[in-house]
Amino acid sequence: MATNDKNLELTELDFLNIKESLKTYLKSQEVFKDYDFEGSGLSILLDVLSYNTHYMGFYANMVANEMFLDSAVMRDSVVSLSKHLGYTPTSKKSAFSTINVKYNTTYESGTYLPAFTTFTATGPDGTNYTFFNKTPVLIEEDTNQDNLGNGIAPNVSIYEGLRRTVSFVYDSSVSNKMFRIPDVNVDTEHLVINVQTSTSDRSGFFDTWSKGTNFTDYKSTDKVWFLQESKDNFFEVYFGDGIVGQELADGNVITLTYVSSAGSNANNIGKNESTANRAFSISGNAYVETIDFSSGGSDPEDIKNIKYFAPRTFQAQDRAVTAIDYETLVAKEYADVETINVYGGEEESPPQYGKVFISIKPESGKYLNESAKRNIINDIVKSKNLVSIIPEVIDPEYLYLLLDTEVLYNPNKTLLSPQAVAILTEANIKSYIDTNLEKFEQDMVFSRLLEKIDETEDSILGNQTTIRIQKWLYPTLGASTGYTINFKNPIFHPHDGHMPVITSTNFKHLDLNGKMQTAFAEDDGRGFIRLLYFEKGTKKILNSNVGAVNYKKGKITLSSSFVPVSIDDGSEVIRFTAVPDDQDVLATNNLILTYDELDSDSIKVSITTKALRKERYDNISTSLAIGLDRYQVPTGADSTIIDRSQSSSFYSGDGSVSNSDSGQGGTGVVDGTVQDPPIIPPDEEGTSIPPSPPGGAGGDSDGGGSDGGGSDGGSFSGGGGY
Amino acid sequence: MASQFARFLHILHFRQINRHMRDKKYKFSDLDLSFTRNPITGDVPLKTNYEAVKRSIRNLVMTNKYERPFQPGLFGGITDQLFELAGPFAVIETKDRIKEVIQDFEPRAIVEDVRVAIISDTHQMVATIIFRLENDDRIETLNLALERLR
Repeated sequence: MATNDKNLELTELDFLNIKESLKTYLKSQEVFKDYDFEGSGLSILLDVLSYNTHYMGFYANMVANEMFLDSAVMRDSVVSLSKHLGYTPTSKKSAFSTINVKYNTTYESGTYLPAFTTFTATGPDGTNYTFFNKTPVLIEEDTNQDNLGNGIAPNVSIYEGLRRTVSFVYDSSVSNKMFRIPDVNVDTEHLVINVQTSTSDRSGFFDTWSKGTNFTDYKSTDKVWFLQESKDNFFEVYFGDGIVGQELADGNVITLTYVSSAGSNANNIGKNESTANRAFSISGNAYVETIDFSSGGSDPEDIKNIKYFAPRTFQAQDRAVTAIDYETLVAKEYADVETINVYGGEEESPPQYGKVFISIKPESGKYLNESAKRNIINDIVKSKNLVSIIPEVIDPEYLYLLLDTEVLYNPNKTLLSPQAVAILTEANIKSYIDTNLEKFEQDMVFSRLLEKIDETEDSILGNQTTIRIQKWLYPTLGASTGYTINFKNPIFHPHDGHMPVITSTNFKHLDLNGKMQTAFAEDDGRGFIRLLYFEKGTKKILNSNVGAVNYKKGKITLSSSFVPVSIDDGSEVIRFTAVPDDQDVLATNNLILTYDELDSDSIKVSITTKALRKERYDNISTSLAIGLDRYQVPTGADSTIIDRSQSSSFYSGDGSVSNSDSGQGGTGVVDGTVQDPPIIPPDEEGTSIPPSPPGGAGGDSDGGGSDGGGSDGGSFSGGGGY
Repeated sequence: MASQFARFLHILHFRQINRHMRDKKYKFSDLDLSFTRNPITGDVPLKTNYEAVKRSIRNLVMTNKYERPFQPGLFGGITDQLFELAGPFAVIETKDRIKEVIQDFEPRAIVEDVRVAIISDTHQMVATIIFRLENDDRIETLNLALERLR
């Protein structure tokens, strides 16, 4: 026999590589020479062997994968592994709502709305859903005019789902003493378990059996049951063994009363309710008024979530101490969470020690309703957090980004039209925001955005993008109350007396003579917010001081003299837009960066072709000598030098060159009739007034070199850009 | 599995070694998949030279699509033709397939001709493959009779 110097490669798992290894091995012998020809009998034998080896290798690999939580892909494996960490995946959750039940009959004292009264409603998907209340509610006398003297069951908490019951007889001889709930749609939160002695003896049925969560807490006589997820998404219940928790006796009848839920489908019922179109209905002589629309409904926890939360829940040890404990706890127990951020009160401005702020953006909308907030605090957090810490659920604040992009592209490198490139770019920017922002603590890194824009299409050579930030104020119209608008990002303010960088949308406001004006707010460059209006195309001051702005903190404080009467566009919102100091916008605390999908101007993309750019350069008569970055405005009234890097209008396709201030400040060019407000030192930090620069307050000498408008005092038109 | 196969080859090798040493003129040698036992030596028989190539061609031609794991392109697909209309098209298709599979996977054989005849009385298709080995003038003929079993 020939000596076999070749060893079989055992590390190969791929079929062809295994076969190749065997062929290599066979080269060491001379009896069978045809192993290299596919038609040979030996090759067929090698196929069988390689296939078997490959199959076993793959199988072993999959088995190994399923043994670890990180790599398991089958739900049953993930669920089983999470059991080792004491974790039970969340079932479907019923949506809940808060309502008033108003009776059309005269109030009678001592009457109750019975528990488990059913309410019906049609969901957003057109399906009918059933809700019920878990506890009886005392009917009171209604004091509202629309139902005066009649009965009202106020603030009734109702839950979506159909109540069902299933019973089992306990048999100790069965090895697997698990009782499966025969419904994958079960909401285990509403599971109620009763145990009676036998089918003929009902004693013990009304004893309270509670859900066990911690094995160390129970004695042998405690009436507890435990829950776990079994195969195929079903849940099962089991009882104590006589050491931890009371053991059942043969013949005991176990009755499981559970709720079969529709999960997230039943959210948002009652959101658009009106008096003419009530969302919920009840049988009998009564009607239902929605206080909080339905929310909190969710589908069973998916594999990704289980993998994420199981180790973290184990880490939290069923206590809320650190911020991540709160996040884990709330996100696990309250499933209608798209993104959550928890931070201590010491991070707030001003600090609020002893508080923990939980900010949640729900999947079903922008804000949580009040009953959901109460539920989170009372049912989820309070029993597990530190005694002296006060948890508070706060709404997220949205900071809207306004992006203005000018894309330079080479038409020779693509078949797409400029419009198509613009559309693609806009879609890409939106995709970037959707993917990378719109969550807590997701900052907008400007360079990443620019890179993303450049990557849109091969023909894009570069882009110039300016960014502004916008906060929405929901004022109480006609009310004299103060407001705070916090951008939580520094606002551009190179020096006092700089041109306005904050502006608002229009609203109606009374002037000092009591005449209604269409006004807008604007900063004066010195730390104050003033109201302006246009008269015959000229800006006039309506009120020179309705608040202060702290540029460093990005905070506007509006005083009680800011009293909008109505809003021009019929909405409830006044939008305050500012130029950020840093192009990287930070999402701190409860701030979420996003854009307004309904505002077509929120993301503006214009296209400049290379040819156009060249043409623009060709028209420049004198500036090429000093480089392409700076050129003299060919048609301007004055001889302002505009720095390309600071002018948003340099590449505009129409060939015009406008003052960059209108792009940044958003106020447009006006004549010099607006007088500066009196300079009063603001009391907030960061707005102290440095000595006025020579040449007047409006003479901005930075960036432009020489400012031709330096002598025009407070005029808006002299600006040389930032 | 791999070690069992190695042991199998090892034993086989020992049994064949004397015969192999006696006659080293085999250019090609293959395992006979019929696994019939040599009544005298008890060995698994070898197929050698022309016989080995013939058996290889036969294996290739009779292989159906996807029969060999991870090698979807390796098939003769002749049995498929038994379910086609027995006419000239089936004959041409069969010829082409036979030529193609030999050309692709049996570099040792040079096909001189392929003749296919349909014998409708017995529901048979008979393929005659005339080939020679490379660097060899000897012409060999392989007859394959295909018959429907059901």
